[in-house]
Amino acid sequence: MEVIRVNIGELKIAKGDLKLIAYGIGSCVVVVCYDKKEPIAGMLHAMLPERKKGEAGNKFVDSGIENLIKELINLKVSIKNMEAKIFGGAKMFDINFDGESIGERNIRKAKEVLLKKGIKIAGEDTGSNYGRTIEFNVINKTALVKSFSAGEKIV
Amino acid sequence: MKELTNFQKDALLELANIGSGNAATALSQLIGKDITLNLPSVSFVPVVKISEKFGKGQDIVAAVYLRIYGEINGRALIFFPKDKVFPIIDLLMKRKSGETKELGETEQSALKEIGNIILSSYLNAIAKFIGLNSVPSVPSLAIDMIDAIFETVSAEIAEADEDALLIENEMIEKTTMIKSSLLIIPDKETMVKIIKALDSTIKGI
Repeated sequence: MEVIRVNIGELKIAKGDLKLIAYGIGSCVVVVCYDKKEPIAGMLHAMLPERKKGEAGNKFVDSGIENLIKELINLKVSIKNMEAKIFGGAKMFDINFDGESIGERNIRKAKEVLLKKGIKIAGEDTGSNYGRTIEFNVINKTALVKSFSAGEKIV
Repeated sequence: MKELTNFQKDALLELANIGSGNAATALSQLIGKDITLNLPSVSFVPVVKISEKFGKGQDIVAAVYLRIYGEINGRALIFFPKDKVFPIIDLLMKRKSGETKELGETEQSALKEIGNIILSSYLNAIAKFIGLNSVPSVPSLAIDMIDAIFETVSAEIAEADEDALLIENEMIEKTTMIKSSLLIIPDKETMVKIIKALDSTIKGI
């Protein structure tokens, strides 16, 4: 199966027999949005919760999810057929210097935006303190989540 | 500031040499072995590209992460490949080679302490050279994929800056091939301060 890699600040869309993969995510959040029936999915790998003044783009959770939904709509996926799965937002270090961790803020923002758009979150593996690699299978709409300290799981 | 001039790069490399020389001496005393220093490198990198610099993203490392406070503000990371963590602790705690088999609280504290001592030596050397004083924060530890660790540090930096100044050094203990990488990332305002201080220090010589 062909693989499409999604790095920090990237958004990639896949149609058909493909896998979308994000390697080694820490505090970043990966949002996968897909058509419940057709083999069409998009993966966003975002770093920060909110877009900054004058900037928008896929390194921010809020503008990134908006872009993700827009691209799927352009491929004729209707919002009522969309579902999402979210991953990441870990607190990688055992001491936090800044109060609430970036990871936690990223997860909160992702859930907030998806809720506002009326897109159901059908699965998640978020938070905790370990890095993850996410392999999303566009055909069967499941994600294999691999980590160093917490084994593997299917979401 | 988008790029470093050659003068600035050379001055920062000199700073890195001085800081890392001290740090290597400290590490050497801690583990009772000679340490070899590789040449430092200084680069100015967009924050989203920091992870890529450290290649082989799926490798597991033990990383000690500290903030730097004072006249220099920034971040520092000291990291070792995971398979060298136990040997380092053996040396540090004067245990027999192969004795350390798990990373319990004592061992984790020991790792954090190495980070603390190495960074303090580095910062003290810098203070003597350019007159800017700073101290490290309480150290924190993560043992995980390089990518995940760097991505998290990058995200924190990205809240404030687009680009980061990376000052890197590698220290190697030849008998056990323990490699320790030291990465200093000054905040943007600090960068300007450091370069000014280097300017006057070097020109004053």
